[in-house]
Amino acid sequence: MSAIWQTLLSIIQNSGFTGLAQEPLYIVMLVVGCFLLYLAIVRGFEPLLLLPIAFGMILANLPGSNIIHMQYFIGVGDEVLLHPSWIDILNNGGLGDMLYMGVKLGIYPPLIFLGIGTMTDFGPLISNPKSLLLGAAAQLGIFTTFLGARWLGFSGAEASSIGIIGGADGPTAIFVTSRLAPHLLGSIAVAAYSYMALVPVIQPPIMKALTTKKERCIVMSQLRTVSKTEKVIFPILCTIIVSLILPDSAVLVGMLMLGNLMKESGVVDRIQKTAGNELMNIITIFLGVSVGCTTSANTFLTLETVEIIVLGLIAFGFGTAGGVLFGKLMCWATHGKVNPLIGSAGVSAVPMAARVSQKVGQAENPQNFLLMHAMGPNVAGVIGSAVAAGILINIFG
Amino acid sequence: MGTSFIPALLAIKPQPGNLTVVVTGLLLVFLILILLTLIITLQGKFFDALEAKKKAKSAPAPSAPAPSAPAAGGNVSAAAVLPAPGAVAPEIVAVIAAAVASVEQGGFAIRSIKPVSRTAQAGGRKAWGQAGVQSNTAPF
Repeated sequence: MSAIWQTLLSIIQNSGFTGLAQEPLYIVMLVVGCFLLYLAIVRGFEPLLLLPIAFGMILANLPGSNIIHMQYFIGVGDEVLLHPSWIDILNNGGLGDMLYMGVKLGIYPPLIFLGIGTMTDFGPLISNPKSLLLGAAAQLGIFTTFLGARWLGFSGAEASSIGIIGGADGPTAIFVTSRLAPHLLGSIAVAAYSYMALVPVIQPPIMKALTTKKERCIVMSQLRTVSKTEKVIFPILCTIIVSLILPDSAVLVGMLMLGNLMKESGVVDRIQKTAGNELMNIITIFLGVSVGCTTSANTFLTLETVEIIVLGLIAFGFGTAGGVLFGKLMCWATHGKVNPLIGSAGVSAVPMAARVSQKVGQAENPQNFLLMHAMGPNVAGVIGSAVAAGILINIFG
Repeated sequence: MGTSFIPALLAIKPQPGNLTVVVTGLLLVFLILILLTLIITLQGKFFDALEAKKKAKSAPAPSAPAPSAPAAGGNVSAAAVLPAPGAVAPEIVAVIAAAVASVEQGGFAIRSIKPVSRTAQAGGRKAWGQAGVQSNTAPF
């Protein structure tokens, strides 16, 4: 009888409830995870990433699950690991550790970029190359947020990771953060994907405040048609030029352009379909779950997370403002041929930001179709944020 | 075994000032994308020039003969079609007649088929283009 009682006691002592009682902050993390699930499922906030992230958060904060051991990757407290302790990970690691290796080794974000490249049409950009400048201007959000984060006391590497939220590019943010500030990965990923879902809410007031009605009503001339040859040459040229100038951005820009080349060449239909569908879906699951697993109470429930959330909003705001203001400059320089609203699409949340430009423009002039014009800066912003990421990794990596 | 730690990692690599990072970063992003802009613009001009050469080489399209619209089922009268001279191919006339017949289920006579000038349309787009844009952007 006492043996049965002893066994039962042992099971109860090893249960998660004991862990919850010892560390009540786990309960808070479980509630946060459930709230993020609500946002993803009910409110439709980027569910493809936010749902696995939220569920990974729940799994990692169930005491005793041992699904991930962040101490093997980044150390504990003041101890900062130069390299992950691979032997410990392979001997004692859980599912989260194995999946997280793809994040830590920088495998998943470039593969997601490969899939994104197969779904991207650079036609509007090629037919109007000036869109690249709008994509560059929108990266103002990254660098102003960097300044803000430094002012709040974050280190250069941490500030760079927080600033990259302004690139509105999930894979880029995860790529940079996993290299420069892996302990902030969970907070930054949650902030980045939440704000990407909020682009239709954040952008319009800024766009309206910075433009006049006359500017918003500008109808742009039709884009020239782009030949298939141009569409095939563009990704090759872009990869070679950008990678030679900035080797740190080679992997992101290269994979994006590889995906695009697979699509535009038309000769690798099978692998193009796999890259854009099955592969991307698999990597999205692995990435989402593993990033969610990195969130623990001591790294997520901190003042730093609140600051990151505020700075993320600033990043998106300044990115939108930078794009719109440069759009106004281009409007002036071209004597009214460019509608400044397309500048906000330089915030590379593809294609949401382009749709927002279309909606705001159409609200002023129902005959105005800015969508294809806005797609140029939108995809240019993806290139711009990858370049900015390469610069920051080069400086702080 | 397998662990190493650097207590003050930042002290080993000197960090540039904040303003340096911002100015350098923005400048580099702009310079790289300006370079890409110039290269793509040149590429576009090169291909435009190639297209212009190709068009100049090919013979002008011969005027389309007065087509006789086929009786595409139904009761559409086919005898009265008068296309604008040299502008509408017989295949297009046949397709239009068939479309009218299928939609209107007979009882209509096509009197004239002529191309509408592009400048006369809104936004400089062909009617199909305009309709396509409207249907694609309607949800927004």
